[in-house]
Amino acid sequence: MPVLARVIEGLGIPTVTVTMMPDVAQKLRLSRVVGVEFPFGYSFGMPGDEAMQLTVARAAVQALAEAGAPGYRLDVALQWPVPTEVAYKEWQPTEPSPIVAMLLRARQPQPPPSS
Amino acid sequence: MAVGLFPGARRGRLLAVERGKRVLSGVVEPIAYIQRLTRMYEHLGYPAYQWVRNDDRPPFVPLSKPLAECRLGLIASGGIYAAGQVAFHFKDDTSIRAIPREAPIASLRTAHFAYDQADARADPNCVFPLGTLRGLVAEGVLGELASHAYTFMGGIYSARRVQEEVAPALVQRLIDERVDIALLVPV
Repeated sequence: MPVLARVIEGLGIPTVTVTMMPDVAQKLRLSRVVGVEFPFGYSFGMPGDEAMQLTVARAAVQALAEAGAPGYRLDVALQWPVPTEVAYKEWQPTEPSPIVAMLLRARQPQPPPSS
Repeated sequence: MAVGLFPGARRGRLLAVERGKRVLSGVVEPIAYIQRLTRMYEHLGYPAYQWVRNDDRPPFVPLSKPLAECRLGLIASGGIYAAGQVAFHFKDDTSIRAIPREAPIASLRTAHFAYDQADARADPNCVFPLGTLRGLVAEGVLGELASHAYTFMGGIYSARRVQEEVAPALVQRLIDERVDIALLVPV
């Protein structure tokens, strides 16, 4: 997304990126960043929480309107309503995709060639 | 509901957020995203991830007219597609989907290899705020949405492929749609 933001802005279209990783986004030097302290998979908030989603959307358009220089950052002061140790648990698919399974197999030590 | 926005907030600062009548407060702990992503890619069998580095000043274009007159293009990388469209594949899928701006939220689907989609499937606005943005248009905050929102499946390992394959396709759509502003939503 940072690559895209820079390409699109470079063509003359103002962009804003809403991100769970505002520190990283800032290091990648984007024009406008809206930071949210939400887990991956929830850029705009909790499912069914329209007020929360609307707050993030308002922050995004506010950033578009008020940023006066590149590197603008606006953090949304909403705390995730689930304890972080629960919300930020790591997630992996229970079954790897065929391509991933192939890559994982390729990383296994190969048996010595039989003579 | 009073919800504050403040520019430049830093991790570790005390947040107090009123949600309904319940006030939540506490110190926000930093999340080790870099380490998490590195572990995720390791788990998927990739070599160490190389982060993009940009040392130059970011491109910056100020808004040329009021938001209420702007046409917004929504771009989201959560693997969203509409019922009837081809789903995204497992990874490094650089194709894009065009979702009509009037698409019923219930017709949206997700396919993505790198995040738990259970909640995004229950309410796609979590990762693809189409309904939320329609609300801002109805309110008069935004002029209108582009005729389509554009989606792809993020987690594309190669920044070069994003630059050479995803970006040109998306940019062409945004130009064709004559969008004034773009909102980018990763997952």
